[in-house]
Amino acid sequence: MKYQTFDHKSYKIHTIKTDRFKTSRIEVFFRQEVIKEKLPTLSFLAGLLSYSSKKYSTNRLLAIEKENLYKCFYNAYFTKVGKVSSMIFSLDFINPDLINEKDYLDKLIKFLFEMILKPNVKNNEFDLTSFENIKNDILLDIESINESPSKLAINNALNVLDKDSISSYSVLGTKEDIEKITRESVYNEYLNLINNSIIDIFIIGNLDMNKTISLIKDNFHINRINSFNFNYYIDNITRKKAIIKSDESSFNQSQLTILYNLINLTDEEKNVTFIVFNYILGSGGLNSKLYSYLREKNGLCYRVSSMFFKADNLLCITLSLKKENISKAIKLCNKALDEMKKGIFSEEDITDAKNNLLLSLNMSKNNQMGILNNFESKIFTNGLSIDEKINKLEKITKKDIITVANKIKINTIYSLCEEINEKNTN
Amino acid sequence: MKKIQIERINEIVYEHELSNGFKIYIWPYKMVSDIYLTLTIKYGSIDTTFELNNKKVTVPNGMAHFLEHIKFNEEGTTAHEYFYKLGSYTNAYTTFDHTSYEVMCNNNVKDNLNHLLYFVTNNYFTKELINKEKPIIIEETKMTKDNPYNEGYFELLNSLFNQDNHKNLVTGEEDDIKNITIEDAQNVFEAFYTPNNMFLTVTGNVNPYEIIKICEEFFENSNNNEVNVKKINPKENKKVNKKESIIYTNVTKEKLFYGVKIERKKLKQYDDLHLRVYLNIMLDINFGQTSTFNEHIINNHLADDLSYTVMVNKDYAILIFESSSSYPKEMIKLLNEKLDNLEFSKDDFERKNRVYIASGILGYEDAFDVNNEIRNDIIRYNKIINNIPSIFENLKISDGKFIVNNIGKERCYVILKPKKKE
Repeated sequence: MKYQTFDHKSYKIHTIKTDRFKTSRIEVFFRQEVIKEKLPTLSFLAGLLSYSSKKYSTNRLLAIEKENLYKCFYNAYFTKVGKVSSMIFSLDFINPDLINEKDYLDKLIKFLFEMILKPNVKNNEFDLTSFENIKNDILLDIESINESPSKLAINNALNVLDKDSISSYSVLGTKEDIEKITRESVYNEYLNLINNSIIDIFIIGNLDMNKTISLIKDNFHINRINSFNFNYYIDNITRKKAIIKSDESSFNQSQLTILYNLINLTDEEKNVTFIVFNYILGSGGLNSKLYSYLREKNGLCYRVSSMFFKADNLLCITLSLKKENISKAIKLCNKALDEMKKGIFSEEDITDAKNNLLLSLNMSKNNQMGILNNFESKIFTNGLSIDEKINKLEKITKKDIITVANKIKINTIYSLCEEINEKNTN
Repeated sequence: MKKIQIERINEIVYEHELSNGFKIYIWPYKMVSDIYLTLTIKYGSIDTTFELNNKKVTVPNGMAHFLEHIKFNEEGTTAHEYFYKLGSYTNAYTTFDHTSYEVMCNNNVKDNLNHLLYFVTNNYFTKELINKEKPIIIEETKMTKDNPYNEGYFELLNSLFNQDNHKNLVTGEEDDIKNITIEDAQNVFEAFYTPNNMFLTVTGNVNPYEIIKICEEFFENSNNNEVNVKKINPKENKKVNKKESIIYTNVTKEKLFYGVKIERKKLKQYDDLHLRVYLNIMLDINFGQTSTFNEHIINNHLADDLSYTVMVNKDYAILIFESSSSYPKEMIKLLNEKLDNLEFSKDDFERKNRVYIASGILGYEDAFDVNNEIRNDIIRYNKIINNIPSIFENLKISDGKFIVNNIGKERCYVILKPKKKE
């Protein structure tokens, strides 16, 4: 596997040459600092740029073209990681050497930049039909969060933590935000994105990289400064005492979400030590402390998750359970975390966690997205390569884990309670 | 050992059967370090009534899933614990027609495989373990039912089927779970957890000869008591059970689930594979993103989306459509009209074929995906489908047209509506 970066002044191209897969993938990143008011418009824009273009003016024509290109998979999506927002255009396709068609790669690159650079715009406004359809999709996505009890509980908990924190901003916004967006305003945001973002292109696959880069340069002409050091990490507010909030819902089951601040974690703790800590605490499946106490010993729930929101410096524990068991579950979560702080776990627990994390890291080396995501993280956040992570992982000690555990401070306890009816009280 | 060459790509799947009827499928792939092992039992949620040694046995709904959970228990420990200590990952799932236990690892293939075979074939059940698992599975069932997609999907199956067990939740309902006993678990285990009713699929960085040797040694000293088992499937009426259902639930916008029940008697010249292929192409041509139907409903805001699946059983093929729509009744009308006037044009047919052939090539590059494909083939067709490109190249438009003209009129729907506020 060969990693290379080429700086073309207006954009950088990062390549990973490998013959391990039958498909290749290109991702084009446009990165900006998060501005709350712009998030809904950028989400809207992502929808429009994946829906149609000047040449493929309807979604149907675009779908036919993708099939003509041997069902290549093109998408534009918008994400927020910490303080940075990214518009990402991705293209997955069969390696050209498996397709008996001479200009296949040329056609693919042309297609990708056609979608990015020639939107379905007339008189400085996006096409009406595409606009209305995407608006409809986004309104549906906003509403659908209310159909997922676990997602809703996490969103609500983040808002309880601090509604002004970037961590709690919704990339979709509210229905009112979407209603305010016009065909013209979204086009203005498109121009701003193209002209003022930091652009990075990632390519992975068994491609002639020189030829691919040359094709990109032929299809992507832009002249601009492309340098900015983003700070991804958010320092959320802390509390002397946890804020406790509970809401009612009409679901069959209650949700408990607990948020903790992670105070002053070092880069190494973020990249490796916390992952080992969290594995022993809750992310390590049925053998973790949380699963053991909540599910195996007390039968309170089917699933419990312990998630590390790295860029937000937050730990989030979430589970689905009966309302009457919420207090007991909070006590058991506290017990598990206290034990981690006091070092009540064995050397064997650490070795087992490391071995299992090693499996995950090795598996990510066999997976195109795993390799690519890790490379992107290394480039963008000065992270570690998979091999560097493996190397550091082996050196983590019990003392390191206790140190990390003592940098955790409870912030928010949020419960979304089930509808009490006759059946649930039985 | 049989070598199966996968058409047009340089890949081989090895197939071997032990003397006790245990079958092994192996795809060695040296480009990765992953090893993915799955042990699949041909027993799923629909198999609730059967004859065991000439005695009729009926177990509660949800039994296959319940057994999958408690199988991980061993005396004084669990299989999870064992694999965790090996640095491997284990899990399992249950469907309508099979239960599969899986292990992912990078090394120690002998220990991992031996223990997978051991814990799945080990007859260890206690009343305490069964009672301990019940509240956990009840919470899992509630979680499943809190998902509107699951709610609509299973209600549609309930409308499509009269007697067939596809109409029931894979997990069973809360009362089913409460009624499960240790005798139920033992009966199912004795009947179905036998070497000749299970198969092993191994994909990734392995040596096929080593895998077969491990299996041979494992089963060398095991008892091969023959059991006489016969699944009893209720006879299903060709009519749908319920034409329409409206449910008020936790949705923010109406959702439509629409089903078509196709009696296979009329299409008896097509095997499961060809019927599934033709129906999928027909759905893609007529309802997919490249269809004028899809464009019409989206551009006119009759629906926000439309997805579809095909299910092929012994006597019936089922088409299922799902859509978020503010105008579900209009959508039903349009679906009915379209299903009465399905198209199968040459251009669309050829373009879709090209897509499917490309997908066939892409199938063989990931240990996880290939393992899934092999399992699906064995469960559905009892053989590896190694000639996907040829199958598609030999399809005939006339057959496609014949099938679309014979899908019949047995249709039903479920509409999920937001709960009425009091």
